[in-house]
Amino acid sequence: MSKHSSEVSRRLVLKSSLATVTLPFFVSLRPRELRAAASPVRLVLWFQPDGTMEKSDYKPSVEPFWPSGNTTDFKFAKTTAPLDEVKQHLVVVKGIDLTQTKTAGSIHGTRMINVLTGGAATSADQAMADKLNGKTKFASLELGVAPDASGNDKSRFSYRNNSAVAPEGNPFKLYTRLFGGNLSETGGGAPDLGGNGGTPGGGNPMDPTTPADKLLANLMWRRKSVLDGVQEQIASFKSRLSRDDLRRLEEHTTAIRDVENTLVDKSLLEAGTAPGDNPPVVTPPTMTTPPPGGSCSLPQLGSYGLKAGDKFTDTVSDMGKIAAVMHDLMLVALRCDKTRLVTMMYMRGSDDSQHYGFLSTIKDKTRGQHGFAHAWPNESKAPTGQEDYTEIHLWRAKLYRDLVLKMKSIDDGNGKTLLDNSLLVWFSDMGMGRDHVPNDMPFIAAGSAGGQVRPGRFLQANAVRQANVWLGLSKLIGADLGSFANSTGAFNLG
Amino acid sequence: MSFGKRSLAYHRLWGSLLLVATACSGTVPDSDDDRDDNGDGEQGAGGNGGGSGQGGGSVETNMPPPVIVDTGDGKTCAVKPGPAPLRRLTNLEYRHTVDDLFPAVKPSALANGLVGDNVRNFFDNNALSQAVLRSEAEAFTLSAEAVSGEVAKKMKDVTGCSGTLNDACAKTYLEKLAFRAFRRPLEGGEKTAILAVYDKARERLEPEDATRAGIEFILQTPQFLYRPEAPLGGGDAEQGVALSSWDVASRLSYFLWASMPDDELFGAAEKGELVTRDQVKAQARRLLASPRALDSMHHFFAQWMLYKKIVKEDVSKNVDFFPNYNATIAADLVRESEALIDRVIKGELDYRDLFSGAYSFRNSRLEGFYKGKAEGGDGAFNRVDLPSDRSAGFLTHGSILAAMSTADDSSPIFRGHFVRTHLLCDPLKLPPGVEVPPLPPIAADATVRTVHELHMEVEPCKSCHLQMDPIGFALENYDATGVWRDKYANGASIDTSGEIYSFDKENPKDSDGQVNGPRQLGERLAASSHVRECMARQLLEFAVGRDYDETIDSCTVGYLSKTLADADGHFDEMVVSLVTSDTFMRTQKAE
Repeated sequence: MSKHSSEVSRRLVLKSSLATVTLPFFVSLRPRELRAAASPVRLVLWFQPDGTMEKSDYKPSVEPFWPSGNTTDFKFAKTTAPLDEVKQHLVVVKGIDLTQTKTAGSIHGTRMINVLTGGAATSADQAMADKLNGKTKFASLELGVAPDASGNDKSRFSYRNNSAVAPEGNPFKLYTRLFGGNLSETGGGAPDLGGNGGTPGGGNPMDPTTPADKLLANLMWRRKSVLDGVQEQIASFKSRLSRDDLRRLEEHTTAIRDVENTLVDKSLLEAGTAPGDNPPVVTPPTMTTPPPGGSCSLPQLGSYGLKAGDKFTDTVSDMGKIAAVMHDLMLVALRCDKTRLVTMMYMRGSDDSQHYGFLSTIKDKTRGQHGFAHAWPNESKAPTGQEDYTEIHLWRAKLYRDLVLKMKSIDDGNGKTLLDNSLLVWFSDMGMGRDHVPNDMPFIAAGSAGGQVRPGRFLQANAVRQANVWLGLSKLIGADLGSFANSTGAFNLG
Repeated sequence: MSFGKRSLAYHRLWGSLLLVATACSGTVPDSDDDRDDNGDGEQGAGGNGGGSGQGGGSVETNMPPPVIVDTGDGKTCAVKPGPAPLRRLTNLEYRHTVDDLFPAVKPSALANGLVGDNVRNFFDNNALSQAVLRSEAEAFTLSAEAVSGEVAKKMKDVTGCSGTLNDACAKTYLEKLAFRAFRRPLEGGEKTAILAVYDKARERLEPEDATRAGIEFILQTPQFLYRPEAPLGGGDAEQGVALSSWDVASRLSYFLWASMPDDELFGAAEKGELVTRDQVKAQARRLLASPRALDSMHHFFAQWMLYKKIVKEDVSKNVDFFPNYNATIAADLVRESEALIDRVIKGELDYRDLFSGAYSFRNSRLEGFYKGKAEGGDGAFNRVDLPSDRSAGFLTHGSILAAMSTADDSSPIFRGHFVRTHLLCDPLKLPPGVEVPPLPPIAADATVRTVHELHMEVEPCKSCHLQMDPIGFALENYDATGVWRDKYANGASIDTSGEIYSFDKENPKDSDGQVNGPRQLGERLAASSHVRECMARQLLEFAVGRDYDETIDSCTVGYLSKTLADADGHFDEMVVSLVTSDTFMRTQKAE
């Protein structure tokens, strides 16, 4: 990621439409956090919608997705061929079935609401996040590339107590959330991520006489006062609620606690000051104690050809550009141990609105993936549908391959790479896409989870429940769920 | 919004529609119209109207008699209140509310980082889809800080504190702000909590920053973000309990304006004057007459009727087939639908024109587009009369026809699915656990119709597709952009015979039956009580922010549907009937 990154500087400038505040240092990258003895295991659940191509989509019939060969000697298929390059890092499992406990209004919604929940109120990723809570700044990150801005049963798979968790699709907001630490005075304003603007120490144009450090300290104090008060209010508010309402407020309570943990920088509160005093004296950390195994470097968003005002949800103009930056931000978050669990959702289940015009090889620039899935080879209006549909699958296979290679290039200390200490799991909401079947759900895992998984294998399973797979993964990342939803036992990937 | 004079016959209809269970016959809802003199508004629930004794914690002394509806088969039912799950402000409501809380600043543009609302059924305001998880909580924190930052620039205007801001004045302001933000008087401990946050902040900060802390706190309290309701005591199992006037004020303002109550509504709540149906009706009429009502009602219609889908979701068309379709046209098509729906909302047009009106509102560019030409320009959207065999209100608008098509061609599935689920409120019956078999090869000379007929030849496809495709067949004369065609692109002729198959054979509906072409489809829907009930049901869900419950709400829906029919199809009458019903003014008694 060297092309897009720079070493963390002492001062990160955040700029927004209203104010410029200089962050005195990178709280989030303090060496203390990086000095973990053994590298943790990370899990990425990488989602693509609408399953795989179908053999009969091709004339003559060819296998589109699953490898051929035996357990240790196998070769990928027509739309997964790019993965041959990294197959020594992969475990492929064929024969996972989705049992559908919950029913949504459509076949698509039904697949989406069951795939990660197994019918439970809380999805596997969130249940694992609860187990990991407190270990890292973010128990989990829910990310997306062109996800739906507003959720429905087709566009969300992650749930807490039946409430849908919205994926973050905006790289600027994600960046601020991950590394802004304190955020700017305007809160949520997009920082200047290209490093090409802002005036270090420039302070707040609304209040030019107050030094930026002081403004920041003020903000932290305000935030703490406010969020402490909000927590108390929620606690007393609960007394009047019904049981169902209470359950939703429980999530709110947890959420506020999380926000206080991530948005209030306690070090800035340490030195007590009275109004008018100088800001607390804090020593900016230096990066003289590098994290084990190398640097924890930040991408510069300016170099990705994106602007803060771009559209990042629903239909976007170039998913490829967004995927590149979201992948890189995700990798930094994992590398810097901001989180150990990520869901990355491409678009949404049954996607008709995202088009692939950004791929030069695509001829039909008006059709969504779901539309292609149903475009029969001999459909008169879409003579090139099969080729286009293949291109989309190939594009995604290349994205995945490149992500694997990138993880392999990142030093994670002790002679290991980030890939060695992770599992990057490719999954979908259905098996074969044209008929929306819940069998032979795609499953490819890259990495070895800190040596627990032996990669380079193609496993034939026999109708293994999807929930068993999530349960098995929970054990590998130290978030053992014990049992999960309709699981009948943990699937052992090792 | 203006309301034309209704006929005398309309007023008399109330008598036949509503029987009242108690001796106070003819009083519920009031038979007088609020355009008449207010003096003669009799009150069935006498003694309930005055005093502020209806505030939180008090007991209802005099229940209004229930609304009894003649269901037409010699039976009656009583309109019953439903549950009131805790609702959260939607993004739209949040933005409107902060603008109303800080009118000197209008900071809503800063709230653009809020997490998108989840949609349940068709609406973004269903309590069950609303939660505050980490992303939402963070967004509310940052949004509150952004809002307080804007307020800080005009601190004097906002707080009304002159000179140097001092603690006493700042605290008084925060207390007043909290009253409006919570939409009711502060309750035990709330004032203390607000002042405690201020004092805590003040330990290190100047009064301006401590005031900001107070504002940020108020904007993140559950009292502000949610809309908790405090039903009065008393009531009974059947008719539930009354909501306080404060709660009724909020229900009215959020339903009709998507925002907090204004001063007049607050005033009425303070005096306990949102207790009788007359009182609520008068306020509802006032709110509906404001342009602000259009905002909220459009939000309802847009979610139900999907006429903004083509601009919201970037519905693209194959330019090889549809060179005239572009973003400008898409925006025009949305305006065409808005023009019709505007007039329905205002009660200027009969709602049935949505399905069967032989006219539309178009500018010259749109006129050209519908004729297959790229000509004409901006300019006013004027009423144009259309041939009746080629038009059926909203059903033949490009906005919905293009949205319910693929990029290449019309889609009887999408169009039929829209009518079935949105306009008939029939949930699609999916064959459980059945997988879709491969389709047989499609002939080279296939048309949209022949391809779709394949779905209906074999089970398990047939049972599901029969519910949708044959409805869409009636609209086959409209291409993927909503433009009329006499033949398919390959020269094949178009067969528009279709059918609204009986969804429930044991309970046939008046919408069931054969339809050939847009006119027959439109008129069948326009005349159908099933469609009217569906509309009532959607409005109910949107108004009370919860799922429709057959056992509780079917009587209300029947009542609203009849109201609409008897009011010559004037939508606003249905709105008023809903807000003055026990479904809106009361809630179930806690167990």
